[in-house]
Formats: sequence, C-alpha cells, structure tokens
Amino acid sequence: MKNPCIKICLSTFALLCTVWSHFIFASDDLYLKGITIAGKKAEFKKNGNLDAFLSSNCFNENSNTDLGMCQAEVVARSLTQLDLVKFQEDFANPGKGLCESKKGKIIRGKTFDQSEISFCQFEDRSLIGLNTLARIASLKGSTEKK
Amino acid sequence: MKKFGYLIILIPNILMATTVQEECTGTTRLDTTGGSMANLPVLDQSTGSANEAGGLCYSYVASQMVDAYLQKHGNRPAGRISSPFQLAMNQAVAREKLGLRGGEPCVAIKASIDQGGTCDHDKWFIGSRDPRNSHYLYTLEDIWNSFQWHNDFQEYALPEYQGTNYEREAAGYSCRLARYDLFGQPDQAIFEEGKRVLGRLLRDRKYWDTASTDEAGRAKDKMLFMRDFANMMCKPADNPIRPPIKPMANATVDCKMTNYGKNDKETLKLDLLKKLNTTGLPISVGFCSFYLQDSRRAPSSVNHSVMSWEADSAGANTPKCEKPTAGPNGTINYVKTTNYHISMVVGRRWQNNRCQVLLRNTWGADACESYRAAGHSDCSGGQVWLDLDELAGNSFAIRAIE
Repeated sequence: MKNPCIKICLSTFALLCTVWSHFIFASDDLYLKGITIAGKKAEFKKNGNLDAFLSSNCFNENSNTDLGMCQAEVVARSLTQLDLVKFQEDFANPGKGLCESKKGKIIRGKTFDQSEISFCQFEDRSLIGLNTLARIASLKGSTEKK
Repeated sequence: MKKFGYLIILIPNILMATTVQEECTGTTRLDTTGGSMANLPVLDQSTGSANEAGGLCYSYVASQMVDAYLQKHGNRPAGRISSPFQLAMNQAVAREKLGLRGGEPCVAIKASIDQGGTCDHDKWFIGSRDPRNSHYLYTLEDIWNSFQWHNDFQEYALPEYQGTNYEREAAGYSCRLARYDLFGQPDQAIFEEGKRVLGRLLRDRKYWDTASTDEAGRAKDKMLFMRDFANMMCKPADNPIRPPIKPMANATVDCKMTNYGKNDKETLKLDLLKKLNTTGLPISVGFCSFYLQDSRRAPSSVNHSVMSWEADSAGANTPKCEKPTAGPNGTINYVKTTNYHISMVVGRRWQNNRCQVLLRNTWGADACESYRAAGHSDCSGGQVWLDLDELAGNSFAIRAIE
C-alpha cells in the first residue's frame, strides 16, 4: 500500500460501501438477525430480482404456481403504484390494504429485539413483509406490469 | 415606517428560530440506554383486527407512552407491553364510540387507568387455536357474535333460572370457551376464571338489552362487553396475566392534549422540543401520514407538505391531508381527507444547521422500506429522522404525558 492514491481510493470506496449499505440494506439486518412467528424461527431468503426477502418456501424447486414462483413473489411482481394508492389507508401500514386486496392474511412476527413486523401470508403459506410490498409497489410506475 | 413594521414582524420569528436551535442543541434519544424508550419494541398496528387496524394508531401510541412513563418511573414489568387493544376498548367505552377505529391516546390512557390496567400485549396473540383468528380481539368479537342473539340463554340467565337450566347451558359455554382457548392459558384455573367471567357477563342484562333494531346501541353493547370481559380477565391478583399499567392508577398522570391552528407551526415546533426535553417521554404528534409515503417528495428535499388548511362552514380552519387515489386511465389523483395519523417523536438532534427529530411510527420494524421509497432515507429499525420544520408543516396536534 505504498501508493497513497490507492489508499485514498480504497478508503473512499469503503466509505461509500458503508453509506450505501446503510441506506439500501438496513432492513436486511432485521432478517439476518432472525425473525420469529408465533415463537418459532421463520426462515427468509433474499430474492435478488425483487431485492426483497421472501419466506424460504419460495425457494423450493417445486413451486406452487404455474409461473414457477410462490404466491408472494407472483403478487410482488404484479404490483403497481396504482395498486398501492387504491388500497392504502391514511393511517395504516401502507402494505396492509395491498395484502388484503391480494387475499393475503396478515401475520405477526417479531424481530431479534422483540419489535413487531407484519407479513402477508398467502394460501401457499409463502410470506412477504407488508412494508416490502408497499415499497415494491411504490417504486413501480402506475400502470407497469412485469 | 413600512420597514419598521416588517422589523416588528421579523423580530419574534428571529427570536423563535434561536429558541428552536437552543432546544435542539446536541442529540437526545429516548430509545438508548437509560432512556424511557430503551428496550421498548417498535410496534405494528397491522397486527390488530383486520377491520380496525387502520384506525388503532392512537392506542398503539398510547401503549408506548404508558410503557415509557412506567419505565421512567421504574414500574414497567420487564418484557411486558401494555395492550393497545384494551387501551382502544377502554377509550371506545369512555367516549361511547361504536367501534375501536380512531381515537385519542390521552383518553385511552386515562380510561385505562380508571379500569386498573391492561393485559400484556403478547398474551393477545399466544396460543390461539382457532385458525380463523390470529389474536383474541377477534375471539372476543366471536364470543359476542355467538351470544348476542342467544335469547334462550338470556331467558335462562334470569335469576329465577339460575341453578336450573343455566347449569345445562353453562356446560355448552364451557365447550365454546375451550375452543376459544381464552388468552392462551392452558391453565385450568384461568379456564375456570374465563367461564366465571363470561357467566357473570351473560347474566347481566346490561350487555344484551338493546333493542335489536338499534344498531348503534348494539355496537355500544359490544364495546362494553369486550372491554369488561378483557378487563375482568386481567383483574385477579393471582392471574398470571399481570396488568402492566396498574401502577399508573396510583399516579397523577396528566396527559395533555394541545391542538394547533393554521399559523401555529413555530409554536408547535417549540412546544414539541420543550416537552421532549423536560419530560424525557415520547411526544405524540397528529399529522398527515402521506407525508411519510408520498413518492412525489424529492429525495433529501425538505418542506414538502401534504397538509393544507381549509375553512369550514363556521369559518374555522381545519387541517386537510392530501391522499393519492386512483384516477381514470391509470392516473393517480389527489383528494383531501381528514383522516389523520398519530406517531411519536422519540429523539432530536441538530444536524446540517437544522433541527431533526426521530419519529417512531407504529408500522413495524421494517417500515423504513416504505419511508425510503418516499425519500426519507435516514432510517433504521422502523424509526426515521425527519426535518422538524417539515414535520411541523404536516402536523397539527401534540399529546404528552407531563
């Protein structure tokens, strides 16, 4: 590390990575530290395409839908901003109306520090966070379907 | 003279700005070690009843305000959380409301002190065997629905029938209670207590007497029944479901409600900071929640407002919240509503020459995903740093235990 330029570049890169990961992946921490539902550990994995955590049953080879995805993923991919504004309430978790409109059931989970986190559970028992649903819908166009 | 007039107008503003900075100097966080919110989990009102969860923000906030107060005074039972459901029921009965949706945290707190406390929040979720129900607020509604038109029982429940047909009926109710698995307590004593409480409520005609055509009356009966059932289950001293907020019954708790008008933004900012600094307790703020979710908000910009003031027919100004809604042909329109939200300020700091406050909402530990999509990026564990001036521009009320 004789060249000061390399040192500065690496330091800057490390700093940027730290700042970036703080803003982009801060929610990852909750999942990585563990989620429990009804007192039992619930397994989640990250779906890179959605940039979202889904219950581990979404990563089984034999998926439950014709599209080869669990219902949580199918719903998440189909959401638009319009879905969000149609169903969100003025004073509730913005993902609640989305979940119910997609025939999901709201399930209570807990994080490592006993804070609450709500999931939308579908008929195939796949799970996705309510705020994750809201975030995915919010960042899409109003009529975009993927 | 005109310049002098401007000066007179500006002087109080300059003084006010100085005071906001003074009140905001340094950093204060109630959620760190030694603070009144340390180890108090972030809650999510979505886990409430499906029908009511959109409107229970006030009772979830009340729960955190109560527990912070108890923690500050060394009275918070370890690991227990005051039940937002019971705070909501106590408030509904106190205000003769027809449902749990929408309310005042201070009224919920005072009514719950009068009722002698609440159960632990967790107890409302653990052990429900009924697959339809994720928690016992549903269960109480089911019990009400099961019994409200049970005229036969009401006949048998009259004093002259006690000890006769009542006994036969009671066996049936025991079975139903067993299915409901009240409060998740497999303990036989708790089961017997539930049976006794239900029998007592069923025999008291005040819960059942409203004429069937009077829907409002029956809604009030339902609130009264649910409140009393839940509260009676929590009362016995030997009940393992200890009432976490009972110590407040002996305390003088002044939960102050302050509303602000169209031109009171600076006063609201100062009051919020002063109350936070002097009480060391969370300060609840009434505001337009779409401020937290509005994707039109440019990232990192401040002074974005979704709240406006409109004069009603009597000439009084009312805050209106802009809410996005589905328009024709896939467009998004904005409508004005008076559906407000309540959250808590649990910290403050002076950064980049501005005062920022730490908002703890009741939308779960992962709520930062929603806030970031609207440009509120300094967020962690469901708590988000907001520009005080911008928050105040979307707010109209403060509630504080003092």
